[in-house]
Amino acid sequence: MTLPEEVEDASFFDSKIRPLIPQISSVLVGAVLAFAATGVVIWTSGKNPLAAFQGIAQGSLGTAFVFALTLDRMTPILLTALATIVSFRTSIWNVGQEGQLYIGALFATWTALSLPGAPWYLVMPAATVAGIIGGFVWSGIAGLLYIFFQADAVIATIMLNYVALLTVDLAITGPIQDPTSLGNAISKQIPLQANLPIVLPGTPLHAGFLIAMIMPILVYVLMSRTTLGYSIRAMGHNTEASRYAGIRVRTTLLAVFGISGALCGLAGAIEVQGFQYRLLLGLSPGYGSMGIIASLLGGLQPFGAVFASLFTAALLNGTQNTAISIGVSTFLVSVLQGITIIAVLALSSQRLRFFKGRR
Amino acid sequence: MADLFVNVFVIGLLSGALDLSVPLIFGSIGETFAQRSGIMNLALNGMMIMGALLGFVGVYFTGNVWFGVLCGMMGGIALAALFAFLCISLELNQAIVGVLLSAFAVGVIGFSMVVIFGSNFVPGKASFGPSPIPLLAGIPVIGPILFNRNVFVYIALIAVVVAYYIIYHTSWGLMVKSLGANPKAAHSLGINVNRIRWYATLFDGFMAGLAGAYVVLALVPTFTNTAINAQGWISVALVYFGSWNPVTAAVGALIFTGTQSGILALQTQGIVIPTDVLAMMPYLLVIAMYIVVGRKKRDVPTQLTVPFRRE
Repeated sequence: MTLPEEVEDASFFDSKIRPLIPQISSVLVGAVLAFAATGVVIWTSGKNPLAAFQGIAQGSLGTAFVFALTLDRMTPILLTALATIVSFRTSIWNVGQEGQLYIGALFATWTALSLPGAPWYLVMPAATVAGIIGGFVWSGIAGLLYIFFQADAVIATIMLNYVALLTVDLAITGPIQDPTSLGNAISKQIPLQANLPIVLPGTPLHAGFLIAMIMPILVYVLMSRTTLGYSIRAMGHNTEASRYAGIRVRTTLLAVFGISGALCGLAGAIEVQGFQYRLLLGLSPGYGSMGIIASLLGGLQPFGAVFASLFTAALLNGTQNTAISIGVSTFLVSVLQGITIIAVLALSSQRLRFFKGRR
Repeated sequence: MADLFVNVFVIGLLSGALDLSVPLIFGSIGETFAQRSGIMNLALNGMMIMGALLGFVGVYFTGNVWFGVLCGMMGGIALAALFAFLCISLELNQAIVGVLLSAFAVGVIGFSMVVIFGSNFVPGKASFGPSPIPLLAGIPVIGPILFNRNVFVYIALIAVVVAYYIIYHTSWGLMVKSLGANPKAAHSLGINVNRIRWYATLFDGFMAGLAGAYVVLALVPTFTNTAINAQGWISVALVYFGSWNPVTAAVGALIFTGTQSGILALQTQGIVIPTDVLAMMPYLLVIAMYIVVGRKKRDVPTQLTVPFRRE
């Protein structure tokens, strides 16, 4: 029971940090449990779990080069996580991040390849903007299906994911195929002027990382300081009540699908312009799903997503290293991420009392 | 000429339609029961994937196809139990958990294949062949189409009729329907809402596991990481298109696979379509179906995705 004297002057700790404690503790406990469970799984498959975890740490954070690589990986994951946050907070289960990323990558590649002689200050931003538009459009298709045809958001976006991948395959085995690649399904390399510059010499860390790090701030401002953000949060609680209260539901939905797609398209463009310098089917090792997981681990908050995407990227790079050095399957990352998010979600359940403190 | 056309094109089309529809029919029957009880199971694809893995493993180590089917069912039920625990007992968001478990299943099978077999490409040991029905298979034209199919095609068609009967003509079906419409009323009558929802979800997993086992043991018939592809998602869509009626869902499945099969069969008539475009067919079809039938008003089970708590 709070006495009147106790209500005044809530400290910074009490108002900002304390509410986060249940969330953060469930993430930490969940991660520990998940690692323990995965350790058991690794052990039963005949490999040494401690060596595996050491390999994960070394492969993701061991050297400056490797850490730069981790930050590179974090870039698309953070962007897809932010995209997921915008959608999920509206209670729109848009899971089309992967497809939107690829279409963004396709638009960016196509634009860059169409402007071979252009100077860098034209083609580099043009390709990136094209990528953003591509993702926006692809997500917009799902949004139109949702709004005008009552399509299920999950199913429509998943269907479009498959179509996106096949469209990219169609392009890279056809119009933009690399003629020197011995029939492999990869596109021509984009012109050098379109590449994003390296920001830390001697490492693969590229400017896309900086672009991505600005986005959480923008999303935070969107969600907490704009009318659209207010509409999003209201609709996330109760769509019908929001409509009754005068919120423009249809406009908000279109904006949500659009912004979400734009962020994923940006991720796709960055991957092409900063990391691969061409379009290929392995461009994204599942950044879409990882973004969803990272957004949930971060409590659907933009800044939480930053930490969660770093963690996820570290797992991705680390498990690749472990796969090579110890021979555990590369699917380990999916298993590890999956167990982590399930454990964290389970611990955050409203039905469990111990993390909720005073009820 | 006409004879050749009939033999190759029509028979190929209709046989293919029936064979391909089985996983969709099994999946949509299970999902119909789950959604009628108020559970939106978006982990169906993952449950089919688990069914495929365990079905394949079961046959690989025993050589017995029916044991494989049983293992497949167990695989589906296992994931369904996890889903039910997270969504019914812990009341987590069903859409999020469903999507996550489906993605998780993909990782699990990839990992398991490497752990068990050392690689992802393992030839199968045994599979189901066609089971012709003695006299009827001899009827010209419709004989080979209808009566020379895999045994699971017959099982699927019978299952549709049985499911329809249960939902619309038994008190059991009425009970399940009431859970999706008004669980408080059902609770006041002494029905344990969450327990029945658990059963419905496990049944969904059972059917999905069966569908998955069918794909790798009878349809393809071998195990690949992408064998199931999106058939679970399509089944969920079919439940919606069919308005939670197993018969209309099955009809939808046949229209769906008929179109797919027809476009594939066009290849035999010399019409060449790029493989990527062919592969897009199912997904574009689902989108097209939303556009064509999506606007029709539907009686959505009102309590779909809403957890029930005994206050």
